[in-house]
Amino acid sequence: MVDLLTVLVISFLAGLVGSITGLGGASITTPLLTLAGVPIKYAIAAGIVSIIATSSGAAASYVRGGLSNVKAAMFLEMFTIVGAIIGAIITIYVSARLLYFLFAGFLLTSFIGIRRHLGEELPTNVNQDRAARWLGLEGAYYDHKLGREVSYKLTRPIAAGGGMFIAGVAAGMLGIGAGAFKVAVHELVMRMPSKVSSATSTFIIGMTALAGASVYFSSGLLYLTLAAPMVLGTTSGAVVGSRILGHISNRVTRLFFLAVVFVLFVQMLLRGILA
Amino acid sequence: MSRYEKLDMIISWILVTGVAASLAVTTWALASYYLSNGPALALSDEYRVSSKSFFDYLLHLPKSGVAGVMAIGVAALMLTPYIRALASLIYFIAKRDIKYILITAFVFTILTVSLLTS
Repeated sequence: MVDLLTVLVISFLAGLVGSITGLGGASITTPLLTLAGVPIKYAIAAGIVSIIATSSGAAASYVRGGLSNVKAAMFLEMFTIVGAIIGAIITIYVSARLLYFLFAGFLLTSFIGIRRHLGEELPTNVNQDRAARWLGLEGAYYDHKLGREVSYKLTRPIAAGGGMFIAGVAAGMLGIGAGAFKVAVHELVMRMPSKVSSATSTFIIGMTALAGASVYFSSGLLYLTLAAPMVLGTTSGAVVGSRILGHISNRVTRLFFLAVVFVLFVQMLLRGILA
Repeated sequence: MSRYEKLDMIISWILVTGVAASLAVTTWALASYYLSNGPALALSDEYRVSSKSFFDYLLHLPKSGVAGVMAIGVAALMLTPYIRALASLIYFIAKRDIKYILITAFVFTILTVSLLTS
C-alpha cells in the first residue's frame, strides 16, 4: 500500500517538471506510482484529476503574464476534448500491458519531434495561412531570458487541430495531459515559440483532463485517497515551476523536456515488457 | 488594456480562485485523514468514486467524514476549468466576436454533455 508522503513527493516533483516542460505532470506521476505499487488504471484515473490542478495552477500565472496564447488554446481545445472523451472510454476496456506500450510509443513520437528542433531558439520565417489569419493567431510576450518582447505569428491551425485530437485520445486513454505531444504539435505544426508552446499546452491540458476525467467518475477506477494528495503535490510543484519557466532559455526548456521524456519512455517500455 | 487582456485577467482570476479553494479543502482533508488513519492511503470503497456522471457525483457528495471533504475538494477542482469555459463564452458574447462565440460554445457544450452523461 502506498503512503501519503510518497505520493506527495512524487506529485510535487512531477508538477514542477511538468509545468516547465508543458508535460502536465501525470506523464511522470503515473509511471512512478506504478513503481510504488499502485495499479496503472487507478494511477491513470487519479492522475487525470490532478492534471486539472497542475494545469490551472500554472496556467493562471502564464495567462496573466501573456505567455499562453489563449485564442490558439480555445481553438485547439475543440479537438482535444473530443479526443479525450473517446480515449477515456477506450481505456476502460483495454489491457494494462497495452497501455504501457501505448504510453511508451506516445512519448517516443514527442521525443523525436522536439529533438529535430533543438537548436532553434525562436521560429523564423513563419508565413501565416488563411485559417490562422482568420482566427487572429498571433501574440507577443516579454522574454526575461532574452531581455526583450518577442512577437510571433502562428500557422496551420487546422492541421494542428488534427494533431490535438490525437493528443486528446492519448490524454483520455493514459490519464495524462499529453503535453509532450501537444508541445510537439504547437512547435512543429503551428511554429509556436517554445515557451509559449509550454504555457499554452499547460492551459489546454486542464480542459482536456476535465473532459477525460468525467468518464472516470462512472468507471469505479477513481480513488479520492490517491487523487487528493496528487492534487496537492502537483499543484504546489506547478506553481513553483511556473515561476522558473520565464527565466530559462527555450533551448534549456527543450533539453529538460527531452531528458524527462526519454527516461519515462524507457521506464514505460520496460514495464510493458515485464507486465 | 487591449481587447483580450481583460479576458486573460478574468481567466487567471477564475483559475487562481478555483485552485486555491480546492487546495485549501484538500489540505484540510488530507490532514484529517492522516490524523485519523495514519500515512497509509486506503484504496477502499469509502474513498472510491462511482457515480453515473460528474453532475450526479455533485448531487450525491458524501455528507460527512474525511471522504466528504476530499470529495468537495475534487469537485471544486473539476468545476474550475468548466467555469473558465463558461466565462470565456460569456466574454465573447459580450464582445460579439462570432468566431470565438462558436468556438467556446462548442467546447462548453461538449464539456457539459460529457459531465452530464459519462
